[in-house]
Amino acid sequence: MRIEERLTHLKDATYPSQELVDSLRAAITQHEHKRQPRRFGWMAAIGATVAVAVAVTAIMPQLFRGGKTLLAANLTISDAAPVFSGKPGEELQLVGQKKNGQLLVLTNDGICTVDQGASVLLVPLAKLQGTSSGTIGQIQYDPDDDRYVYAQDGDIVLYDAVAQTRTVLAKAGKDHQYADPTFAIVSLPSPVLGGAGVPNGSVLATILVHSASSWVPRAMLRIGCDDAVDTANTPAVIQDGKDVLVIGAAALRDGTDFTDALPQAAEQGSDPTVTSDGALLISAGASGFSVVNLVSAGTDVRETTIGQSGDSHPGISPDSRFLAYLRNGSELHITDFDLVKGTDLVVSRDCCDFLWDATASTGSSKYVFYEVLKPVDGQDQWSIVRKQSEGSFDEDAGYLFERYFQALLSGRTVYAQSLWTAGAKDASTAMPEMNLVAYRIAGYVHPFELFKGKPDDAIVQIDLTFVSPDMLQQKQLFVDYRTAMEHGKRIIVSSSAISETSATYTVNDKAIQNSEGGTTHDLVQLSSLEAQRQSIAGMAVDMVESSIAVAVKSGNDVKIIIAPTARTPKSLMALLLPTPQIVATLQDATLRNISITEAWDLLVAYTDNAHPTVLHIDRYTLKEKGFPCAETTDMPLSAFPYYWYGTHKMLLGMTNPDEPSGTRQIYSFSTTVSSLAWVSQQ
Amino acid sequence: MTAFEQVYETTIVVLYRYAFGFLGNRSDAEDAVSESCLHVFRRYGNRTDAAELKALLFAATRNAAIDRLRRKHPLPLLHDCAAREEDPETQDMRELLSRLPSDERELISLKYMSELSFREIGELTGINEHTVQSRIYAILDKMRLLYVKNDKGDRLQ
Repeated sequence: MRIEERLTHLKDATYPSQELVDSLRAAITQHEHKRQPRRFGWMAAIGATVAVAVAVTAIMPQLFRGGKTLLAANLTISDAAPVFSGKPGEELQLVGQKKNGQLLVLTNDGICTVDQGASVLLVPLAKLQGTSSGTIGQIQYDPDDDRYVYAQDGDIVLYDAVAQTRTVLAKAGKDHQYADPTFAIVSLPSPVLGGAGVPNGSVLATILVHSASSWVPRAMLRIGCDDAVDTANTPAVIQDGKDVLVIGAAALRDGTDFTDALPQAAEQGSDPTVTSDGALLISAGASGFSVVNLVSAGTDVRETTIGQSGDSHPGISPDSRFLAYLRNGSELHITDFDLVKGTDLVVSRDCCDFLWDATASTGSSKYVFYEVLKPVDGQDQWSIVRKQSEGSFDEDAGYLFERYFQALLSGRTVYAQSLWTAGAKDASTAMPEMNLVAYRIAGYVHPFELFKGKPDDAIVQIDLTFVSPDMLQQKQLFVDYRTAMEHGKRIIVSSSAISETSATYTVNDKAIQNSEGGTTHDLVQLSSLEAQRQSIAGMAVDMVESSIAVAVKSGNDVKIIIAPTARTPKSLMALLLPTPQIVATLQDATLRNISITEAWDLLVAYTDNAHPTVLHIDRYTLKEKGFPCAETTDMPLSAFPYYWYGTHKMLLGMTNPDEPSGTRQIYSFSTTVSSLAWVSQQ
Repeated sequence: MTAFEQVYETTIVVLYRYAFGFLGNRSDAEDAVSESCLHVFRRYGNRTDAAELKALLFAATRNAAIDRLRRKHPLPLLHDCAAREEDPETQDMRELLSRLPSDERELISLKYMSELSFREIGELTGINEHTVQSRIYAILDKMRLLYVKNDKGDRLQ
């Protein structure tokens, strides 16, 4: 039988259930004569998983551009049915969600599962408290086991709900505390840090790292105390998850006790790196750098000092064989650890006018990558405020990918320069004086993956998004990247090129005028954004492959802009916006977060005075209305200043103004647009 | 009967076949079809152009399906769960389809499960019509190889 005939046979054997056909037919028929004007919302007709349907007073006409803005103060909840309501005045804390979908909430009684108004106590508060009376901080739930970790009086505590044991993982000291523990997987080469500084500035962070067998709690201490410089030190984590090394403290923690890993404390500001096999650690400071051999972490530590004064930018090859570094800022040296010390290969020494930066080497240690940087626009003096550079080779070490961002301080303006060293040192692209808010490298997950299986197709497409006070600019760069170095010999320079297309969109030339007619540039202050997303303080951005969402403060309002990217599929574009548009203007709002999904569902969390609100803009509305958001689900948000979106449920903690003062409630919504809520107009 | 209801009656089956072929399981396919039908009905239910409504239904279903794929739900084999007893031939073809990458699975589903024309597929996916045609032929060749390579008797192993 031919394959086409087999497919026809398969087709004939595939048909929807009669239940589906009938239920949809009924939904269509029933609603055919009840259709509301679309500007006023829609009824969620499916969604058996919908836990709650909320009717929210809609103010749709105010959503449209041209002076029509969304006023959160106008919102009230009616006909709300919370999943769970706390006692008046009770603070609820959302701990997590179990695999079966049950919500875990910390109440005054302890950790409970809540469902449809009922709760079951799992862990009494006394068990969590132990003998301490200290306040329990934010609790994190182990996604793989019934365990909880939290901070209490500066200690980090792990509670095992199965064994019913309470263990202090990290004890606060005289000059330090722990805070914000979490469950996380730490990966190299970029250490992933959990936690944040606490108000007294004395501590620092705790993370739990993942081992091959199970979630193993390990506390990581970032030493710094009151020294702001020290807090910038980067801890390094050995990949097997067993050990955590902190350079600033010269301490290694393996389970319980700290032991010295370095004979002397590393210099402040050093940036330690551990090789992927955990064998070598390198710490670079102003007076050189040192390489530490971690043959037996915690017990048998041997130090090998390589660098001398004037040496900098050390990088170890992934197989721990080679070390590349700069001497006197101009000579690129490579050391082979297998050879006698002193036989360094000097790769280049004739570029003293430039700053060299060795940033990557190949997995086979065949190549080392370096780049030449030069002052912008011929300036002799230039101040680097922030510089990020990453380079990586493909698996065959044939292609090099590198990205580089540089910020130069000029008043409050950030210059952003992107540089791709594509064979020629001139292959840089200086960006105009704008605020770089986002960039996307098409298909980029990791350079290795980018090039995997594509040795003949090394064209990298890069989207950059900038926001200036009055425009949103997108620039797409197409980089044919074919350059690498083999011990100083430049190779693969053919067909290196950068071509670009760019487009500038005027966001709304009138909208940015304040009441006095002047241009307002103030930006809203936001929480920190994800590390992988480039942004500047005072602006929110979220991006997925197909779209970018930007929030900009303009006067007292927040403007929400959505822009497609070069990766937006045409079919998706047909339902969405062809160009960046202002999709909402939030009057007198303070932005808290912004999130967009691949499906262009946008969530904006903001507060309007005392009204924390989540604005939901769905993708279908965008196209239908041309640009403004007409469909929203606006929900007060107070108990939990965050939300999850994109998995199965969106969970929100709220204070219902119709309920007794201070009563916290938790609402659960399906993330699908069709089952989110019903918006009506009173 | 409204235009939308007429289109619904004639399209629901092919829409479902496309979603099932693309997503690989009944539950997600039904969810995607439900969501897209209701959305299109809600947004465009008052329109009368049958061709336009059909295109909108496919586009919405495609978006809903892509949503689900991007949520990284594991793609089970294309067995129709335990809902129905299926003959070995059907089971083999579902499994064969499940071995294709999602973009190839989609093209095959659009062409052979939903019987769209190359032009319609091109408009839906944003791919040139001729490219669609050549890609589908290439995928069929690939499927033939997979089938023959694994052929022991009449079954895909």
